[in-house]
Formats: sequence, structure tokens, C-alpha cells
Amino acid sequence: MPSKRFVSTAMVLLFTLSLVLAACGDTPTTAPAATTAAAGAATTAAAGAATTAAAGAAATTAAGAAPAATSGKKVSGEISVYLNSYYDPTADKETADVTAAIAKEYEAAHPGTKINLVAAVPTGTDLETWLAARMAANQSPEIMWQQFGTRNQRASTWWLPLNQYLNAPNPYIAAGQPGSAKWSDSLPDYVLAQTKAPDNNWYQVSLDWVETGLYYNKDIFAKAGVDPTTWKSWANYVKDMQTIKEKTGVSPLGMYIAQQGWSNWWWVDDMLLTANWGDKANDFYLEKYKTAAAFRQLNPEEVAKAIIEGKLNATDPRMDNYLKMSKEYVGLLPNDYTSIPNLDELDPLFYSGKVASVWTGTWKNKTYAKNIPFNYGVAYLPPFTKDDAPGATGSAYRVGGPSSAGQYGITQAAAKAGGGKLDLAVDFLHFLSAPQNFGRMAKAFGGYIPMVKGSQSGDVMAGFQKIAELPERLFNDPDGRLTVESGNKWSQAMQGFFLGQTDVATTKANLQKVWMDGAKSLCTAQKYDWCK
Amino acid sequence: MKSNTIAPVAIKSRVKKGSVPVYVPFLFLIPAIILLTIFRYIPAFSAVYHSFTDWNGTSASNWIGLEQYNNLFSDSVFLRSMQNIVVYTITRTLLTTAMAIIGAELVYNLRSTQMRSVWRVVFTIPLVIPTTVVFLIWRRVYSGDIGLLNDTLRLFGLDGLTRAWLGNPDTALWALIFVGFPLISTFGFLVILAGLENLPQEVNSAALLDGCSRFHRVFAIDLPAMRGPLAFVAILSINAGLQEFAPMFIMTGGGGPVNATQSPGLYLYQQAITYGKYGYASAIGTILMLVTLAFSIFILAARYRRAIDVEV
Repeated sequence: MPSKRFVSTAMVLLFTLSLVLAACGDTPTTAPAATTAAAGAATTAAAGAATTAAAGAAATTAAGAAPAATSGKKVSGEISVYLNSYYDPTADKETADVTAAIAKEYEAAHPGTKINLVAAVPTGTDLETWLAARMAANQSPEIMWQQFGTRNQRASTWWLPLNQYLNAPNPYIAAGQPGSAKWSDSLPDYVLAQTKAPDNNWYQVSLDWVETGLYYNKDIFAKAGVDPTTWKSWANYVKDMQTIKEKTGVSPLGMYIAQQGWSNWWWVDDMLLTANWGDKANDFYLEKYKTAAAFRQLNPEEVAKAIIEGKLNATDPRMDNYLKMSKEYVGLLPNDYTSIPNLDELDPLFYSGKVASVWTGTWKNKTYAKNIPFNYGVAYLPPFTKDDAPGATGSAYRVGGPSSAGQYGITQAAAKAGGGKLDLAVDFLHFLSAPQNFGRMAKAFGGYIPMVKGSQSGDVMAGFQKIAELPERLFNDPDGRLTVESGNKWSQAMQGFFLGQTDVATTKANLQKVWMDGAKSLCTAQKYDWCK
Repeated sequence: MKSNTIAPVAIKSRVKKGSVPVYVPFLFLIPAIILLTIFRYIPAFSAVYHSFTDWNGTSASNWIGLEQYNNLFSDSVFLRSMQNIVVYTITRTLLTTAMAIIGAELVYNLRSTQMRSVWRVVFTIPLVIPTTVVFLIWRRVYSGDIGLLNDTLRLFGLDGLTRAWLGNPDTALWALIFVGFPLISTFGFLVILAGLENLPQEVNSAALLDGCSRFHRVFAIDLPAMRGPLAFVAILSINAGLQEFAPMFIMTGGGGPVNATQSPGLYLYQQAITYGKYGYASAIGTILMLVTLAFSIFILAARYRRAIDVEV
């Protein structure tokens, strides 16, 4: 029948059109929640994040000079910019509107320019796939976010070293303010030290840092008679968590260990290694990386050198205590801790009362405030005492750092493109990172502490200021200690130990092999002068 | 005795002989050949070439001979992944084929044509659900604390059987094998059902008249007559199984725990995308291609060694 034929022809045409449109779209959309979660993956720490913001704010007030609206440099053309959680209209329209307004201000001040804000890209390992394809084809956004551990691995194959720009003025910072003479001065020293790649380059500017905390169900804790404010030591904390399990039958802690990639178990791993090796920190530090902080995080070169020189050895007796504490802690986790696929999958367990607490990051603030159906609080972990671990320094350690949404670099695609794209990308990154602009974005999002001097954190972050004042971890997440591959192998060796596949001696030998292979691999790649 | 055969019907060509130059049909093949060359053959040859280099995906590569292959065959994770994928492929091929045969026979033997159509649709509808969605659903089914499987076991008082199905190295691979249980709604079901419906009905009728039961007929007539479709289903299933990537990636967070569900396809992906070791990944891909090719040739050879009774 003609009408039937018409309908079927129309359907075929519609289907074909949809295929063509789908193929033409170059900006895939993904779940916004996952995007923010990706921002929190793999963290490092540094002390004094909160104080930086305050000090910077004071400096701005004192000087009072107005920031420039343009750099005076002629720029034109069009660039794409991916800003992670700061521009994700589906997940957080308020913040996205602020960011879009800043981009519009830039375009208005620079006629002939166009800033395309990329709304959402795939997350986690999918992002790596997405980026790998675009980097290979020189079609990535000109300004792009990537997790700091992996970006340092990709280094100059994907990213443009920013050293020369960081040493030059940021024209959008008011005269007399930190950063106006030398862009890097707008960021604290510990941020610069922490984000430097193993080859001594900076591939991204670290405009904000993340914090973490133990979000807990007050009702379950009260039922078990546990009060987090009374925790005096790690042993005390672990015992209380075991009490929760005994009295309520609920898994006390929402954490998981992935075989591949980041998991929030890595935070525990960092802590326990730090507790057991903390007293040896000065033996590992290299003079050339010395900062004002007495206790800071080791960078990959320092870890590699310590391993190769035998100062840091996984077969050391200290690792017996590390493994004992790790196994004890695993007993607090949900029974499928080795198969929970990502951090967001812990939320249903937490919301439904199947776990009493979740150790997660501040990027969850808004989501939790909106969705948690019970009274909840945020606590933090207690100090490690000498009784907990002989190498402990008597402190709790901060888990936070440059794994937030404000980590932006300029891709090699911009450098190779010509046509003024690189100039435009550098100029817009200057503009974006000036305190009067980035501060607005950080305040609207409220999930990260801005690191740009002169910008202030929003009210939501106020509760994390105490945590931000703690000393940082000695050890970074496994993928940031040496290489991404050695990080994954470390996780797999620990999984094998927890699941009873390897005993203590074998596990120590396996971990030492992972460390030594990673150190040698880093040596080969970076050709440090001390490498033989 | 005069044989009562039916002469083949001569099909009259709509195109007059000689009116179209002989090369014209080949012109229509050119776009397909170009696309195949660009998207299939060049990448395949490129992978083989790069398997002899240290290519990192972006920089120029150096020729390193057989080093990647030497490393590969001493890589315990790769060897574990090969072991996993052989178990996964063989078990899943046997299960899906057996269940497809059972499903197809049940539908084929329904007397009511209406009911037959209904069941055919019922078993076909799940095929339109994207496999990613299927894996995400099954990941939740197997979840330790909020999983449907454990909840069901608890409902029947079988608390002792509950476990972290995907988090336990002893059960993780088997959990993946049983994704989609009862495994009837597969492409194989459609192929086998189509094959059964094309069998000459006279043979069936004669068998029934001779006292052959329906159950006995399955083994005596249907299965021997279905060697063609079965070989076809087996080849597709084995090819898909050997290259399996998605369930391990989506359901077990990258082949865990402790590589219990690691597959060569996933390992290839991790080496290339996560670590930038494109040369090593190319060597894995080349080995995988050869293994798949060997399996396919073996099955095809086995199928053609025997009489070809029925074509789909």
C-alpha cells in the first residue's frame, strides 16, 4: 500500500538522518555525576590549602588595584575548553552559568575570539580513550583537564610545558598582586612542588585542590555508641568501626579496591605507608625539591631513587605492620570490596544504610546534601601513634590535593594548530586563572578549595578547613608514586594478599618487584642524572 | 522405476544478456572494498607491523624485532588472560548453543503456529537491549550487598550460598559466563530455529510414522541435519568469545579481582590506552587474530569434511 510504503520510507530516512547527526556530533554527553567523580580520582596532599586562600584574599584587599580586562595582546580565533565540573550544565547549572558568563566577558573584551566550553566528556578510563584518540589526531580541546598522575605520564607527548608562561606575568592579575609579575607566584609553592612532572615540567596549572572526609550516618553510629570526635588513635578508630559491625551488622566503611585504576582504597594505602615510613621521610627527600614544609609528599623521582638505593624496600620488616594494618582495615569494608566498580556505586550502599560511612571527597558535598535521607556528619581520621606504627610521626595526614576540577593544561594540538590558537589558549588560561575570575567559579561550585591567591572558598568548604590544615601524606596514590602501571600492579598484589592468594612473605616480594620495576621504568623514561 | 523428481525452475533474468558490461558489478563493489581496506585491512596489517616496534601511539616507532613477543609469552597476566578466555569461550559457546537448540526445539515443536510466533518474539525481544545495559543490569544482579541473586538466595533461606560473586576470584569468571542466563535469547536461537523450520517436513512426518518420538527425532534427524547452522553459530560465538572485552571491562573493573577475569582483548586495551604501549598491544592483537583465525579454520574444515545437508 502506498501509505505503508510512505511510512516505511519516512522511517528509514529518519533513521538514516539520526545516524548522520549522531556521527557528526563531536561532543559526547555523559552522566554529570560521573564527571565530578572522575575529578576526585587519585589524590595527593599538601598542607595549608585553606590558609593560602585567606592570605591571598588579604593581599587583594590591601593592594586594591583593578585587574585588567584585556592583556593588550592581540588575540583572535576560536578554541575549545574543557573545565570539568566547572562547566557541566546538566549536573550544576549554577556553576556552569558563572563559567559561561566569564567566557562571555572574555569574548566581549576580545572581539574576534570565540570560546567553546565543552559540556561533558567521558569519564575515568573512558576519558583516557577519548583523549587518546583526539590527541593522536590533534583534535582535542585546546585547554583540557586530565588527572594529574596520568597527565604527568603523558607529559610532552600530549601537553605543552607551561614553564615559560608560568615564569612570565599574568596580565589579568592586578599590578602588585601575586602573579602579576610572574604567573607562578599566584600559586603556593607546595602546589607547584606537588604538581611538577617527573621531567621537571609543569603541564597544567593547579587552580584548586580537593579535600576528603568520612561522611557518616549519625543514626547508625549512635546506635553502636560510636562518637567520631573521641578518636585518639588509628587503633581506637578501627576498634570503633569494628564495634559498629558487631552491634549493627552494617559494614562500617564504604571503600573498594579496584584491580585497574583509582579506588578510594588508595587513600588508606597512602596513609598506612606514611604511618610506617614517616620517620624516614628526611632520608628520602632530595635537596633540590626542598620546600618550607618540614613534612611533604614524596615526588616520583624521590620514590624511585629511594627504592633503587635500597632505602625504601617492600621486604623491610616495617611492611609486616603495613600489611597487618591493611588486612585489619579490609575487614571493615563491604564484602564485595574487590568488585565495586567506582566511587559512585558506594552511594546506593550509603543511602540505603548498607554501609555506615563513606570516605569520599568534597566534590560530593552538593550531591549528598540533596540526596542523603538521614542525618549525616563529616569526620576525619585520627592521628597515628607510635603504638599504631613505629614509624608514625604522631599525626593524622591529609588526603587531598591536585585531583580536582581546576587542573588545566594546553594540549599539543593547540601548539601545532597555528593560526593564533596557542596565543588565544594561553591568554584565556591567564584570564581564567586570575583570582577575580576563578574565585567566582570556585565559590559557585563549593566542592574544592581554590589555590589561586586572592580567591576564596565558598561556605560549603568551611567545614574542611581543619582537615586542610593537617600535614600531607608522605606517599602519593600508587599511580602517582612511580608510574600508572606500577600503581595498578600494586593494587593487584594487595588484592591477592587480601583474598588469601599470597602470604605475607610472597606479598612483600611481589610489592618489592612492583616498586623496583616501576623505579627502573621511570629511570629509563626520565633519564635522571643519578640513574645508572 | 521412474523417478518422480521436480525439475528446477528456470529463473528469467531481468537484465538482458550483454546489455551490461561485465565490469559494472565490480564497480559497485569498489566502495565496499575501499572501506574494508581502510577500516579493516590497513589496521590489521598496521597492527602486525607495529607488533615488531616499540610504538607508543604518538611518537615515531623503533624496530625491535620479536622482543614484544618474547615479553608476551613470559607475561603471566597475558597467559592468565588466554587461559581465562579459552574457558570463557568454550563454556559459553557450549552453553549458548545448547540452550539455543533447546529453545529452538521447544518453539519448533509447538503445534499452534500462533504460540510459536509469540514465543519466537518473546525469545527475540531481549536481543534488542544494548549489551552494555545488559552488563550493567547483571553487575547489579551479582552485587554482594544489594544484588538480586543474593537477595533471592536469602529469601529461600540459603544465606550460606551468598557471596560477592564478582569479587571472588573463584566465582568471578563463572559469573560472567552466566550473564544472560538462561542464554536462550541469542542470535544462535534465531539461526537454529530458522534452520529447523527449513527442514523438509516429509522427513519429520516419515520419522513420526515410523514411531520415532519427538525427543529421539532431535538427535536422529534435527541435529545431524543442522550441522551447517551449528557450525555457523559456533564460529560466530567463538570469534566473539575470544575477542570478548565488554563484560570484563564493565562488570569487573578491568579484569579483576587479581586478573581472575582478565581477557586478551581487555589486556590489549589496557596496554594501549592506559599505558601507551601500542607496540605491545599490537603483539597481543596479532596473537589474538591468529588464534581466532585458527579456530575458525578448524571449525570450517570440520564442517566441510562432512556432508552439507542443509543451508541456512
